[in-house]
Amino acid sequence: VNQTKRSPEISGYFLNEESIGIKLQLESFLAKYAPDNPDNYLLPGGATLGDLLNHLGLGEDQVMLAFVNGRMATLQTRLADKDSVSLCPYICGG
Amino acid sequence: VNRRTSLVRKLWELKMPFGYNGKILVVDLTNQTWSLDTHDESWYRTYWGGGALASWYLLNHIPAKADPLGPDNVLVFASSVLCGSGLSGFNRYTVAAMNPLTGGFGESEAAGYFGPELKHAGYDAVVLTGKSPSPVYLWINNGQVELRDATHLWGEENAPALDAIKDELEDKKVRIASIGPAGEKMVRMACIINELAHANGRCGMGAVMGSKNLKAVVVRGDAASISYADPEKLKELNVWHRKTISEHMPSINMRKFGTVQHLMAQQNSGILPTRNWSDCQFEDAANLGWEGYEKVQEGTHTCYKCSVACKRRVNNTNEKRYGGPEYETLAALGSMCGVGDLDAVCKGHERCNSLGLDTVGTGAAVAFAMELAEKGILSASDLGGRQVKFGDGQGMLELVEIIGAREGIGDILAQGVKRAADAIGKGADEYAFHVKGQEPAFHDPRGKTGVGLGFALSPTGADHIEAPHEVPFQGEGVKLVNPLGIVVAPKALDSGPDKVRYFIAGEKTWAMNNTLGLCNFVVAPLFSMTYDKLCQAVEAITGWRTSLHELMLVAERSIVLARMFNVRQGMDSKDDKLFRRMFEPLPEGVLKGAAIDREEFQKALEMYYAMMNWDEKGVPAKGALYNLSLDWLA
Repeated sequence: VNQTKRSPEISGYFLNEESIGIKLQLESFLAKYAPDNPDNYLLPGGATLGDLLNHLGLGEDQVMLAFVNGRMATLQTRLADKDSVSLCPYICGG
Repeated sequence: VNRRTSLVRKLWELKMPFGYNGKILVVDLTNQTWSLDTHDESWYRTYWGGGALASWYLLNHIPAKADPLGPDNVLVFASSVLCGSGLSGFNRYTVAAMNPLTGGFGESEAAGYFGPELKHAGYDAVVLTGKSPSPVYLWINNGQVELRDATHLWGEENAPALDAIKDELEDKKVRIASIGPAGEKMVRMACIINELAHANGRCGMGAVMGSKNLKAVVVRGDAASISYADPEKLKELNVWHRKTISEHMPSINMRKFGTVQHLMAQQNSGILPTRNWSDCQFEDAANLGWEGYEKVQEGTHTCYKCSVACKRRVNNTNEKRYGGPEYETLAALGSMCGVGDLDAVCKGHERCNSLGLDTVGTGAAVAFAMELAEKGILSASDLGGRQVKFGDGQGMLELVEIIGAREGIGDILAQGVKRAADAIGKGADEYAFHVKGQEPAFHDPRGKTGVGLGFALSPTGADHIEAPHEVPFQGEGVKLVNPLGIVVAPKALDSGPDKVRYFIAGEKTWAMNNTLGLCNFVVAPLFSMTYDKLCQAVEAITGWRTSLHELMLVAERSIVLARMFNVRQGMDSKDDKLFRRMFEPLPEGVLKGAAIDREEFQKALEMYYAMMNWDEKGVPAKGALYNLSLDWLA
């Protein structure tokens, strides 16, 4: 499996037979966290969006918006095989 | 006056509107008298609240040649027909007047608790004219009005003044919007602050209040005094909204990190305004971002009935009620001044809130002085004996104090960077960054050109919340702005028609929020309250069956009203511009080399005027005015 950018915190993860492959799109400055295989990024079965951020080494404070198959998701959203995931930062003010 | 007040009240009770009072208090400070303005339902449905309602008063009551710090200026505190209805984020109010930094339109919104309490006290807005012969505060207690002596409070900083008023009125639950010594001394970037932590920061509204000898507006009301068209539906919407906020990722992030999260986002995007815009990367950014902030945070707080709770408290200041710095302040007193010491930035934030200074304008003025010192334009003796250069946290704190006190160089900086540069000479204007005389908040248009349009076009002078910044609407994010008619993702560095179309749609949504008294952190496109539910909320509150179409018209009306105020002041397209450094390449970071292209930017402005039906000088055409029911301005 050609998997890249795994953060040390989740080094205990292993890809099991229920592994899923997702399509990943990282917008704006998040692009620098993009793995080499964004079209079929592998995660263990049952992974959530929060797990995905950990896997990419992305802090929760860096991602403002996440879409799974075009619908806004949360860190608890469970991912499934062939899901399309898009992550956007938020840079406004106040 | 009381007899008259109660008679008018009885008459109005016969046809009590839903959601609002139908009463606006007009106070003549010169003569210490007051009266009631009443308007019919169609007027309220035309102007709604906030900046639109305030503009109606500014245009009708301020003579064109008025001195913004003289008695002819008019100061308006405006809630809205929706404010205080109990939904999260439906709690903002506007303070508006002629802007002492620009000579044009001035408005600044705040949340907290003041707006709802004002409405519950019986008035949708308070209009203050003239100048009191001696310091006073205005006390509005469930419809009763009193101007009380404030001579003993004049000179007090915000917290002791607030405590003294609460003691004097023997009521801890009054809500107070006050000015500190900076406002009293008419520092042009003085703010008004309510309950010590919610500032009407921009546009020098505190200076206008000080010029009127008005220390505070104090309100106390009863939430039950307002009737709603469909209380059951309102309750149902409230349950839905709270649940949605608890599950909605941007809202969850806002609760966890507040606006602090934006600091590293700007840094990572290569556009963190640093050292007076001379840089875009700050080596100590991590100290000021969440990584550093988490160590000093000791809780959060919120505004009236809002479940988002984005406000912070910190453990490294003396008076905790001033809250902790938000993103703009972290950048203003931090990266802009090259100060990476979070303790110094928190202290500076506390001192600004205590003195009643807008942290954005103050930080910009301090950074400007630091750069002048670096360039040898200001000497140590000019700066009171200390050579305050970038990175000097103690020096930053000292400059904050003397700006608030208008002492030494602080007196010059207290005029804002435009006037200060004129007074200092020696080429200082090369380093004075402002639009129309107002300093921008800390967002670099070289990484998001829509912010450049906002800076240039905002009627208040540079303003960072003219339209939602386009960055989150890339890729799938464009779905969030589809309901506004935007189908092409607005690319961050583009200045073509797609960007201008996006900017206009975004500008209207945030003008809608400012007019309706809604927080940008609860309403679509980015946040939890969808446009469908918002329309339902309007109907449940007021009984008015509405649509996004109507709300966008209201928003555009508010934009055009403010523009017409500026047109009357002699402003036009020549004043819609950006400052020098935006046309120079970003020196480092991921966007190294990016700059605003002058020609493209000019074309974008011209496209904006055309799309808005304004002429080439940026003046709204008669057709635009008639279309917005502004016949009286045509």
